[in-house]
Amino acid sequence: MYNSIIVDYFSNPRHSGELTDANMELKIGNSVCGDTIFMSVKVEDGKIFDAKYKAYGCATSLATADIFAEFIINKSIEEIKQQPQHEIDKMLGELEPPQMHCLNILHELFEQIRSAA
Amino acid sequence: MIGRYFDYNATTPLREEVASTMIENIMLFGNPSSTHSFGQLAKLKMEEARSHVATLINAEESDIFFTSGGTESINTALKGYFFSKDKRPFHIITSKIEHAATLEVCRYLSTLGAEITYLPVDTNGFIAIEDLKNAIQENTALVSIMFANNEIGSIQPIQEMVRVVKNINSNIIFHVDAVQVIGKIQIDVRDLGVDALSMAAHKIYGPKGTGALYLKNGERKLDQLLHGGGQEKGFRGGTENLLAIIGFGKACEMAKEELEHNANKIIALRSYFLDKLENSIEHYEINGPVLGEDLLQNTINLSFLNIRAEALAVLLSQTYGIAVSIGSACSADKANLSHVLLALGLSEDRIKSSIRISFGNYTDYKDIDYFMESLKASVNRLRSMLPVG
Repeated sequence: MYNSIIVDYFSNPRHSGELTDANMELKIGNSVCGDTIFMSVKVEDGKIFDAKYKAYGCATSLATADIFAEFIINKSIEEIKQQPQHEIDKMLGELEPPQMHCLNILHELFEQIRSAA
Repeated sequence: MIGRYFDYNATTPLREEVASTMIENIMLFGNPSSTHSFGQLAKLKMEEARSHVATLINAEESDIFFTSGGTESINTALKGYFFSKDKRPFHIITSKIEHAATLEVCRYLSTLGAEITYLPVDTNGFIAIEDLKNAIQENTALVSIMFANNEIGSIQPIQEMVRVVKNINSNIIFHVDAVQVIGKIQIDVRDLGVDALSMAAHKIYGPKGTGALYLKNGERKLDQLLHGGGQEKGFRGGTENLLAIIGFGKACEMAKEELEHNANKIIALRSYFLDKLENSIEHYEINGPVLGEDLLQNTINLSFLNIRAEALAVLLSQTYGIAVSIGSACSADKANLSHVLLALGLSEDRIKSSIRISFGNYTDYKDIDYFMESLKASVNRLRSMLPVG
Protein backbone atom coordinates (compact mmCIF):
# COMPACT_ATOMS: atom_id res chain seq x y z
CA MET A 1 0.00 0.00 0.00
CA TYR A 2 2.35 2.73 1.22
CA ASN A 3 6.09 2.34 1.27
CA SER A 4 8.07 3.26 4.38
CA ILE A 5 9.35 6.54 2.89
CA ILE A 6 5.83 7.79 2.20
CA VAL A 7 4.57 6.65 5.60
CA ASP A 8 7.47 8.35 7.37
CA TYR A 9 7.22 11.74 5.64
CA PHE A 10 3.45 11.79 5.68
CA SER A 11 3.17 10.82 9.35
CA ASN A 12 6.02 13.03 10.52
CA PRO A 13 6.21 16.00 8.19
CA ARG A 14 9.35 18.09 8.68
CA HIS A 15 8.59 21.11 6.55
CA SER A 16 4.88 21.87 6.54
CA GLY A 17 4.01 25.49 7.23
CA GLU A 18 4.72 28.88 5.72
CA LEU A 19 7.84 31.03 5.39
CA THR A 20 7.38 34.72 6.13
CA ASP A 21 10.54 35.76 4.27
CA ALA A 22 10.21 33.60 1.16
CA ASN A 23 11.34 34.97 -2.18
CA MET A 24 10.33 32.08 -4.41
CA GLU A 25 6.99 30.30 -4.76
CA LEU A 26 6.28 26.93 -6.31
CA LYS A 27 2.69 26.01 -7.06
CA ILE A 28 1.15 22.71 -8.00
CA GLY A 29 -2.53 22.80 -8.74
CA ASN A 30 -5.20 21.52 -11.08
CA SER A 31 -3.38 18.29 -11.54
CA VAL A 32 -5.61 15.41 -12.57
CA CYS A 33 -6.35 14.34 -9.03
CA GLY A 34 -6.94 17.83 -7.65
CA ASP A 35 -3.89 17.86 -5.41
CA THR A 36 -2.56 21.29 -4.49
CA ILE A 37 0.85 22.30 -3.14
CA PHE A 38 1.98 25.84 -2.36
CA MET A 39 5.65 25.90 -1.46
CA SER A 40 7.44 28.99 -0.22
CA VAL A 41 11.20 29.00 -0.64
CA LYS A 42 13.96 31.26 0.72
CA VAL A 43 16.80 31.59 -1.78
CA GLU A 44 20.00 33.57 -1.25
CA ASP A 45 22.97 33.70 -3.60
CA GLY A 46 21.69 30.77 -5.58
CA LYS A 47 21.26 28.57 -2.51
CA ILE A 48 18.07 27.42 -0.83
CA PHE A 49 18.04 28.21 2.85
CA ASP A 50 14.58 27.06 3.74
CA ALA A 51 11.35 25.76 2.24
CA LYS A 52 7.90 25.15 3.67
CA TYR A 53 4.62 24.13 2.12
CA LYS A 54 0.87 24.09 2.47
CA ALA A 55 -0.91 21.29 0.69
CA TYR A 56 -4.17 19.50 0.03
CA GLY A 57 -4.12 16.01 -1.31
CA CYS A 58 -3.62 12.35 -0.68
CA ALA A 59 -1.05 10.95 1.73
CA THR A 60 1.50 10.34 -1.01
CA SER A 61 1.27 13.85 -2.44
CA LEU A 62 1.65 15.43 1.02
CA ALA A 63 4.69 13.22 1.60
CA THR A 64 6.01 14.24 -1.83
CA ALA A 65 5.95 17.91 -0.84
CA ASP A 66 7.82 17.14 2.36
CA ILE A 67 10.42 14.94 0.67
CA PHE A 68 11.02 17.59 -1.97
CA ALA A 69 11.37 20.38 0.60
CA GLU A 70 13.87 18.33 2.58
CA PHE A 71 15.84 17.60 -0.56
CA ILE A 72 16.21 21.20 -1.73
CA ILE A 73 17.04 22.80 1.61
CA ASN A 74 20.74 23.66 1.89
CA LYS A 75 21.34 22.86 -1.77
CA SER A 76 22.32 25.27 -4.49
CA ILE A 77 19.99 25.74 -7.43
CA GLU A 78 22.75 24.34 -9.63
CA GLU A 79 22.94 21.14 -7.59
CA ILE A 80 19.17 20.73 -7.82
CA LYS A 81 19.24 21.32 -11.56
CA GLN A 82 21.85 18.65 -11.99
CA GLN A 83 19.96 16.01 -10.02
CA PRO A 84 19.65 13.16 -12.53
CA GLN A 85 16.20 11.97 -13.54
CA HIS A 86 16.76 8.41 -12.37
CA GLU A 87 17.68 9.69 -8.90
CA ILE A 88 14.54 11.84 -8.78
CA ASP A 89 12.46 8.82 -9.71
CA LYS A 90 13.82 6.95 -6.68
CA MET A 91 13.04 9.67 -4.16
CA LEU A 92 9.49 8.53 -3.38
CA GLY A 93 10.36 4.84 -3.17
CA GLU A 94 8.27 2.22 -4.87
CA LEU A 95 4.78 3.46 -5.69
CA GLU A 96 1.58 1.62 -6.46
CA PRO A 97 -0.19 2.51 -9.72
CA PRO A 98 -2.74 4.89 -8.11
CA GLN A 99 0.13 6.78 -6.45
CA MET A 100 2.17 7.24 -9.63
CA HIS A 101 0.70 10.68 -10.30
CA CYS A 102 2.74 11.90 -7.32
CA LEU A 103 5.88 11.25 -9.32
CA ASN A 104 4.55 13.73 -11.87
CA ILE A 105 4.03 16.21 -9.03
CA LEU A 106 7.65 15.71 -7.97
CA HIS A 107 8.90 16.23 -11.54
CA GLU A 108 6.79 19.37 -11.79
CA LEU A 109 8.32 20.74 -8.57
CA PHE A 110 11.83 20.14 -9.94
CA GLU A 111 10.84 21.74 -13.22
CA GLN A 112 9.52 24.84 -11.46
CA ILE A 113 12.78 25.24 -9.51
CA ARG A 114 14.74 24.92 -12.75
CA SER A 115 12.68 27.48 -14.62
CA ALA A 116 12.31 29.90 -11.70
CA ALA A 117 16.00 30.21 -11.05
CA MET B 1 -5.98 -3.52 20.07
CA ILE B 2 -9.41 -4.50 18.88
CA GLY B 3 -10.85 -1.27 20.29
CA ARG B 4 -9.15 0.62 17.49
CA TYR B 5 -10.92 -1.39 14.83
CA PHE B 6 -13.76 0.57 13.27
CA ASP B 7 -14.28 -1.46 10.12
CA TYR B 8 -16.72 -4.16 11.22
CA ASN B 9 -18.67 -3.91 7.97
CA ALA B 10 -15.59 -5.09 6.09
CA THR B 11 -15.15 -8.06 8.36
CA THR B 12 -15.38 -8.97 12.02
CA PRO B 13 -12.88 -10.63 14.33
CA LEU B 14 -13.49 -14.29 15.11
CA ARG B 15 -15.24 -14.34 18.44
CA GLU B 16 -13.71 -16.37 21.24
CA GLU B 17 -16.59 -18.85 21.53
CA VAL B 18 -16.41 -19.51 17.79
CA ALA B 19 -12.65 -19.97 17.91
CA SER B 20 -13.00 -22.39 20.87
CA THR B 21 -15.64 -24.43 19.05
CA MET B 22 -13.46 -24.61 15.97
CA ILE B 23 -10.41 -25.61 17.99
CA GLU B 24 -12.42 -28.33 19.75
CA ASN B 25 -13.28 -29.73 16.34
CA ILE B 26 -10.04 -29.12 14.54
CA MET B 27 -9.16 -32.81 14.40
CA LEU B 28 -12.54 -33.69 12.97
CA PHE B 29 -11.52 -34.81 9.53
CA GLY B 30 -14.28 -37.08 8.32
CA ASN B 31 -15.97 -36.32 5.04
CA PRO B 32 -19.65 -35.59 5.76
CA SER B 33 -20.56 -37.53 2.63
CA SER B 34 -18.98 -40.77 3.93
CA THR B 35 -21.25 -43.37 5.45
CA HIS B 36 -18.77 -44.62 8.06
CA SER B 37 -18.61 -43.30 11.61
CA PHE B 38 -15.93 -40.69 10.84
CA GLY B 39 -18.08 -39.24 8.10
CA GLN B 40 -21.27 -39.44 10.11
CA LEU B 41 -19.76 -37.57 13.05
CA ALA B 42 -18.68 -34.82 10.66
CA LYS B 43 -22.15 -34.77 9.16
CA LEU B 44 -23.73 -34.53 12.58
CA LYS B 45 -21.63 -31.46 13.40
CA MET B 46 -22.43 -29.93 10.04
CA GLU B 47 -26.16 -30.44 10.53
CA GLU B 48 -25.96 -28.90 13.99
CA ALA B 49 -24.42 -25.86 12.36
CA ARG B 50 -27.13 -25.81 9.69
CA SER B 51 -29.72 -25.80 12.42
CA HIS B 52 -28.15 -22.73 14.05
CA VAL B 53 -27.98 -20.89 10.73
CA ALA B 54 -31.62 -21.72 10.03
CA THR B 55 -32.73 -20.61 13.50
CA LEU B 56 -31.06 -17.23 13.10
CA ILE B 57 -33.34 -16.37 10.16
CA ASN B 58 -36.32 -18.54 11.19
CA ALA B 59 -35.88 -20.92 8.26
CA GLU B 60 -36.13 -24.68 8.00
CA GLU B 61 -32.80 -26.51 8.13
CA SER B 62 -33.59 -27.99 4.73
CA ASP B 63 -33.73 -24.46 3.29
CA ILE B 64 -30.08 -23.74 4.11
CA PHE B 65 -27.30 -24.52 1.62
CA PHE B 66 -23.73 -23.90 2.64
CA THR B 67 -21.49 -21.96 0.27
CA SER B 68 -18.06 -20.37 0.44
CA GLY B 69 -19.56 -17.02 1.49
CA GLY B 70 -21.69 -14.10 0.43
CA THR B 71 -20.25 -13.77 -3.05
CA GLU B 72 -20.84 -17.42 -3.90
CA SER B 73 -24.35 -17.29 -2.48
CA ILE B 74 -25.20 -14.27 -4.63
CA ASN B 75 -23.55 -15.79 -7.70
CA THR B 76 -25.49 -19.01 -7.14
CA ALA B 77 -28.80 -17.22 -6.81
CA LEU B 78 -28.46 -14.83 -9.74
CA LYS B 79 -26.71 -17.11 -12.21
CA GLY B 80 -28.70 -20.10 -11.01
CA TYR B 81 -32.06 -18.56 -11.80
CA PHE B 82 -30.78 -17.07 -15.05
CA PHE B 83 -29.43 -20.35 -16.38
CA SER B 84 -32.51 -22.29 -15.28
CA LYS B 85 -34.78 -20.29 -17.58
CA ASP B 86 -35.12 -21.28 -21.19
CA LYS B 87 -37.14 -18.30 -22.14
CA ARG B 88 -35.36 -15.11 -23.02
CA PRO B 89 -35.21 -12.22 -22.48
CA PHE B 90 -34.59 -12.41 -18.78
CA HIS B 91 -35.14 -9.18 -16.91
CA ILE B 92 -33.46 -8.54 -13.55
CA ILE B 93 -34.24 -5.64 -11.25
CA THR B 94 -31.56 -4.59 -8.82
CA SER B 95 -30.29 -1.28 -7.45
CA LYS B 96 -27.42 1.08 -8.05
CA ILE B 97 -26.05 0.60 -4.54
CA GLU B 98 -25.61 -3.18 -4.50
CA HIS B 99 -22.40 -4.88 -3.51
CA ALA B 100 -19.98 -5.68 -6.32
CA ALA B 101 -20.95 -9.36 -5.99
CA THR B 102 -24.38 -8.48 -7.36
CA LEU B 103 -23.37 -5.71 -9.77
CA GLU B 104 -20.63 -7.77 -11.37
CA VAL B 105 -22.89 -10.80 -11.81
CA CYS B 106 -25.52 -8.54 -13.41
CA ARG B 107 -22.90 -7.04 -15.68
CA TYR B 108 -21.82 -10.54 -16.68
CA LEU B 109 -25.39 -11.74 -17.25
CA SER B 110 -26.08 -8.68 -19.39
CA THR B 111 -23.36 -9.92 -21.75
CA LEU B 112 -25.38 -13.14 -22.03
CA GLY B 113 -28.56 -11.31 -22.93
CA ALA B 114 -30.11 -10.46 -19.57
CA GLU B 115 -31.81 -7.12 -19.35
CA ILE B 116 -30.93 -5.29 -16.13
CA THR B 117 -32.71 -2.40 -14.43
CA TYR B 118 -30.69 -0.58 -11.80
CA LEU B 119 -33.08 1.21 -9.46
CA PRO B 120 -31.96 4.62 -8.23
CA VAL B 121 -31.92 5.60 -4.57
CA ASP B 122 -32.78 8.86 -2.85
CA THR B 123 -30.20 11.07 -1.11
CA ASN B 124 -30.33 8.79 1.94
CA GLY B 125 -29.89 5.58 -0.01
CA PHE B 126 -33.47 4.31 -0.10
CA ILE B 127 -35.21 2.75 -3.08
CA ALA B 128 -38.69 4.11 -3.78
CA ILE B 129 -41.33 1.38 -3.81
CA GLU B 130 -42.96 3.17 -6.74
CA ASP B 131 -39.73 2.87 -8.74
CA LEU B 132 -39.63 -0.85 -8.03
CA LYS B 133 -43.25 -1.24 -9.04
CA ASN B 134 -42.74 0.72 -12.24
CA ALA B 135 -39.67 -1.28 -13.18
CA ILE B 136 -41.52 -4.58 -13.29
CA GLN B 137 -42.02 -5.78 -16.85
CA GLU B 138 -43.69 -8.78 -18.37
CA ASN B 139 -40.33 -10.52 -18.66
CA THR B 140 -39.09 -9.67 -15.16
CA ALA B 141 -37.84 -12.88 -13.65
CA LEU B 142 -35.71 -11.82 -10.72
CA VAL B 143 -35.39 -9.00 -8.21
CA SER B 144 -32.19 -8.82 -6.19
CA ILE B 145 -31.92 -6.15 -3.52
CA MET B 146 -29.43 -5.59 -0.76
CA PHE B 147 -31.11 -5.61 2.66
CA ALA B 148 -28.75 -3.05 4.18
CA ASN B 149 -26.05 -1.11 2.48
CA ASN B 150 -22.52 -1.75 3.70
CA GLU B 151 -21.29 1.82 3.10
CA ILE B 152 -24.12 3.99 4.39
CA GLY B 153 -26.34 1.58 6.33
CA SER B 154 -29.70 2.25 4.65
CA ILE B 155 -32.08 -0.67 5.26
CA GLN B 156 -34.56 -1.31 2.46
CA PRO B 157 -38.18 -2.24 3.24
CA ILE B 158 -37.74 -5.78 1.92
CA GLN B 159 -41.01 -7.15 3.25
CA GLU B 160 -43.00 -4.44 1.49
CA MET B 161 -40.93 -4.83 -1.66
CA VAL B 162 -41.62 -8.57 -1.77
CA ARG B 163 -45.33 -7.95 -1.29
CA VAL B 164 -45.42 -5.41 -4.13
CA VAL B 165 -43.47 -7.64 -6.49
CA LYS B 166 -45.45 -10.79 -5.72
CA ASN B 167 -48.76 -8.94 -6.07
CA ILE B 168 -47.85 -8.02 -9.61
CA ASN B 169 -46.36 -11.38 -10.53
CA SER B 170 -45.94 -14.15 -7.98
CA ASN B 171 -43.52 -15.98 -10.28
CA ILE B 172 -40.85 -13.30 -9.95
CA ILE B 173 -38.05 -14.58 -7.74
CA PHE B 174 -36.98 -12.24 -4.94
CA HIS B 175 -33.41 -12.59 -3.73
CA VAL B 176 -32.04 -10.50 -0.90
CA ASP B 177 -28.40 -9.91 -0.10
CA ALA B 178 -28.54 -10.06 3.69
CA VAL B 179 -24.79 -10.28 4.23
CA GLN B 180 -24.67 -7.01 6.13
CA VAL B 181 -27.76 -7.46 8.30
CA ILE B 182 -27.75 -10.96 9.74
CA GLY B 183 -26.95 -10.85 13.42
CA LYS B 184 -27.59 -7.10 13.48
CA ILE B 185 -31.34 -6.99 13.01
CA GLN B 186 -34.01 -9.65 13.47
CA ILE B 187 -34.52 -11.56 10.22
CA ASP B 188 -37.51 -13.80 9.69
CA VAL B 189 -37.60 -15.23 6.20
CA ARG B 190 -41.21 -16.37 6.66
CA ASP B 191 -42.35 -12.83 7.38
CA LEU B 192 -40.20 -11.39 4.63
CA GLY B 193 -41.48 -13.84 2.04
CA VAL B 194 -38.23 -13.82 0.07
CA ASP B 195 -37.32 -16.72 -2.20
CA ALA B 196 -33.59 -16.59 -1.62
CA LEU B 197 -31.29 -14.90 0.88
CA SER B 198 -27.49 -14.70 0.97
CA MET B 199 -25.32 -14.75 4.09
CA ALA B 200 -21.63 -14.75 5.04
CA ALA B 201 -20.09 -16.02 8.27
CA HIS B 202 -17.27 -13.53 8.58
CA LYS B 203 -19.60 -10.57 9.08
CA ILE B 204 -20.97 -12.08 12.29
CA TYR B 205 -17.73 -13.03 14.08
CA GLY B 206 -17.45 -16.32 12.24
CA PRO B 207 -14.65 -17.57 9.98
CA LYS B 208 -13.99 -16.43 6.44
CA GLY B 209 -14.66 -18.75 3.53
CA THR B 210 -18.13 -19.90 4.44
CA GLY B 211 -21.68 -18.67 4.18
CA ALA B 212 -25.06 -19.87 3.12
CA LEU B 213 -27.85 -19.44 0.65
CA TYR B 214 -31.38 -19.74 1.96
CA LEU B 215 -33.88 -21.09 -0.55
CA LYS B 216 -37.56 -20.93 0.35
CA ASN B 217 -38.98 -24.40 0.97
CA GLY B 218 -35.61 -25.79 -0.02
CA GLU B 219 -36.80 -25.41 -3.57
CA ARG B 220 -34.10 -25.67 -6.14
CA LYS B 221 -35.65 -24.13 -9.18
CA LEU B 222 -32.26 -22.73 -10.02
CA ASP B 223 -29.26 -24.29 -11.69
CA GLN B 224 -26.32 -25.11 -9.49
CA LEU B 225 -23.14 -23.08 -9.74
CA LEU B 226 -20.65 -25.76 -8.73
CA HIS B 227 -21.12 -29.15 -10.30
CA GLY B 228 -19.42 -32.03 -8.60
CA GLY B 229 -19.91 -34.74 -6.05
CA GLY B 230 -23.49 -34.14 -5.07
CA GLN B 231 -22.93 -32.39 -1.75
CA GLU B 232 -25.63 -30.16 -0.27
CA LYS B 233 -28.29 -32.52 -1.54
CA GLY B 234 -26.78 -32.39 -4.98
CA PHE B 235 -26.99 -28.62 -5.17
CA ARG B 236 -23.40 -27.60 -4.55
CA GLY B 237 -20.50 -29.84 -5.45
CA GLY B 238 -17.34 -29.81 -3.34
CA THR B 239 -16.49 -31.28 0.04
CA GLU B 240 -17.85 -28.95 2.66
CA ASN B 241 -15.58 -26.54 4.53
CA LEU B 242 -16.50 -28.41 7.68
CA LEU B 243 -14.50 -26.55 10.32
CA ALA B 244 -15.59 -23.15 9.02
CA ILE B 245 -19.20 -24.33 8.84
CA ILE B 246 -19.01 -25.44 12.48
CA GLY B 247 -17.68 -21.97 13.33
CA PHE B 248 -20.44 -20.36 11.28
CA GLY B 249 -23.03 -22.35 13.21
CA LYS B 250 -21.60 -21.22 16.54
CA ALA B 251 -21.48 -17.61 15.33
CA CYS B 252 -25.17 -17.82 14.36
CA GLU B 253 -26.08 -19.37 17.69
CA MET B 254 -24.33 -16.57 19.58
CA ALA B 255 -25.72 -13.89 17.27
CA LYS B 256 -29.26 -15.12 17.93
CA GLU B 257 -28.74 -15.18 21.70
CA GLU B 258 -27.22 -11.72 21.86
CA LEU B 259 -29.02 -9.94 19.05
CA GLU B 260 -31.22 -7.73 21.17
CA HIS B 261 -28.55 -6.92 23.71
CA ASN B 262 -25.99 -6.07 21.03
CA ALA B 263 -28.45 -4.04 18.99
CA ASN B 264 -29.28 -1.90 22.02
CA LYS B 265 -25.63 -1.43 22.82
CA ILE B 266 -24.90 -0.33 19.25
CA ILE B 267 -27.76 2.18 19.32
CA ALA B 268 -26.30 3.71 22.50
CA LEU B 269 -22.80 3.78 21.00
CA ARG B 270 -24.05 5.50 17.86
CA SER B 271 -25.76 8.18 19.87
CA TYR B 272 -22.63 8.67 21.98
CA PHE B 273 -20.48 8.83 18.85
CA LEU B 274 -22.67 11.42 17.12
CA ASP B 275 -22.85 13.61 20.25
CA LYS B 276 -19.09 13.54 20.62
CA LEU B 277 -18.62 14.27 16.94
CA GLU B 278 -20.90 17.27 17.13
CA ASN B 279 -18.82 18.68 19.96
CA SER B 280 -15.41 17.82 18.52
CA ILE B 281 -15.23 18.64 14.85
CA GLU B 282 -16.57 21.32 12.55
CA HIS B 283 -17.62 21.16 8.92
CA TYR B 284 -18.60 17.55 8.48
CA GLU B 285 -21.60 15.90 6.89
CA ILE B 286 -23.24 12.53 7.40
CA ASN B 287 -23.74 10.55 4.20
CA GLY B 288 -26.85 8.39 4.15
CA PRO B 289 -29.49 8.09 6.82
CA VAL B 290 -28.80 9.71 10.18
CA LEU B 291 -31.71 8.75 12.41
CA GLY B 292 -34.53 6.26 12.40
CA GLU B 293 -35.00 2.54 12.48
CA ASP B 294 -34.31 1.88 8.83
CA LEU B 295 -30.55 2.16 9.16
CA LEU B 296 -27.71 0.00 10.37
CA GLN B 297 -26.92 1.65 13.68
CA ASN B 298 -23.29 0.56 13.61
CA THR B 299 -22.56 2.34 10.33
CA ILE B 300 -21.65 6.01 10.06
CA ASN B 301 -20.41 7.52 6.81
CA LEU B 302 -18.90 10.98 7.18
CA SER B 303 -17.43 13.63 4.89
CA PHE B 304 -15.05 16.27 6.20
CA LEU B 305 -14.76 19.54 4.30
CA ASN B 306 -11.33 20.09 2.74
CA ILE B 307 -10.02 16.71 3.80
CA ARG B 308 -8.88 13.96 1.50
CA ALA B 309 -10.29 10.84 3.19
CA GLU B 310 -7.44 8.71 1.93
CA ALA B 311 -4.94 10.93 3.76
CA LEU B 312 -7.14 10.95 6.86
CA ALA B 313 -7.38 7.15 6.87
CA VAL B 314 -3.60 6.78 6.53
CA LEU B 315 -3.03 9.25 9.34
CA LEU B 316 -5.53 7.49 11.62
CA SER B 317 -3.92 4.16 10.84
CA GLN B 318 -0.25 5.13 11.01
CA THR B 319 -0.40 7.52 13.93
CA TYR B 320 -3.22 6.14 16.03
CA GLY B 321 -3.60 2.53 14.92
CA ILE B 322 -7.23 3.15 13.96
CA ALA B 323 -8.87 1.25 11.11
CA VAL B 324 -11.63 2.85 9.03
CA SER B 325 -12.73 2.45 5.45
CA ILE B 326 -12.78 5.08 2.69
CA GLY B 327 -15.12 5.77 -0.19
CA SER B 328 -12.41 6.57 -2.68
CA ALA B 329 -8.85 5.43 -3.06
CA CYS B 330 -6.04 7.82 -3.94
CA SER B 331 -6.55 8.06 -7.62
CA ALA B 332 -7.17 10.41 -10.45
CA ASP B 333 -9.60 7.88 -11.82
CA LYS B 334 -13.28 8.72 -11.36
CA ALA B 335 -14.10 5.04 -11.66
CA ASN B 336 -12.56 4.70 -8.23
CA LEU B 337 -15.23 6.79 -6.55
CA SER B 338 -17.72 4.88 -4.40
CA HIS B 339 -20.66 3.89 -6.60
CA VAL B 340 -22.88 4.04 -3.54
CA LEU B 341 -22.04 7.64 -2.70
CA LEU B 342 -22.31 8.56 -6.38
CA ALA B 343 -25.81 7.05 -6.41
CA LEU B 344 -26.75 9.36 -3.52
CA GLY B 345 -25.89 12.25 -5.83
CA LEU B 346 -22.89 13.42 -3.82
CA SER B 347 -20.18 15.57 -5.40
CA GLU B 348 -16.76 14.18 -6.25
CA ASP B 349 -15.19 16.35 -3.54
CA ARG B 350 -17.58 15.08 -0.91
CA ILE B 351 -17.00 11.47 -1.91
CA LYS B 352 -13.24 11.94 -1.81
CA SER B 353 -13.60 13.32 1.70
CA SER B 354 -15.70 10.46 3.06
CA ILE B 355 -14.80 7.77 5.55
CA ARG B 356 -16.92 4.92 6.80
CA ILE B 357 -16.88 4.04 10.45
CA SER B 358 -18.50 0.79 11.49
CA PHE B 359 -18.41 -0.54 15.00
CA GLY B 360 -19.36 -3.83 16.56
CA ASN B 361 -19.33 -6.17 19.54
CA TYR B 362 -15.91 -5.16 20.80
CA THR B 363 -16.38 -1.40 20.53
CA ASP B 364 -16.72 0.42 23.82
CA TYR B 365 -17.30 4.00 24.93
CA LYS B 366 -13.63 4.50 25.73
CA ASP B 367 -12.78 3.36 22.19
CA ILE B 368 -15.05 6.04 20.82
CA ASP B 369 -13.38 8.60 23.10
CA TYR B 370 -9.99 7.59 21.73
CA PHE B 371 -11.30 7.54 18.19
CA MET B 372 -12.76 11.02 18.50
CA GLU B 373 -9.58 12.51 19.99
CA SER B 374 -7.56 10.93 17.18
CA LEU B 375 -10.03 12.02 14.52
CA LYS B 376 -10.08 15.58 15.79
CA ALA B 377 -6.29 15.79 15.89
CA SER B 378 -6.00 14.28 12.40
CA VAL B 379 -8.64 16.50 10.82
CA ASN B 380 -7.13 19.58 12.45
CA ARG B 381 -3.67 18.63 11.29
CA LEU B 382 -4.71 18.10 7.69
CA ARG B 383 -6.75 21.31 7.70
CA SER B 384 -3.84 23.27 9.17
CA MET B 385 -1.81 22.23 6.12
CA LEU B 386 -4.32 23.59 3.63
CA PRO B 387 -3.08 26.18 1.18
CA VAL B 388 -4.90 29.50 1.22
CA GLY B 389 -6.07 30.97 -2.07
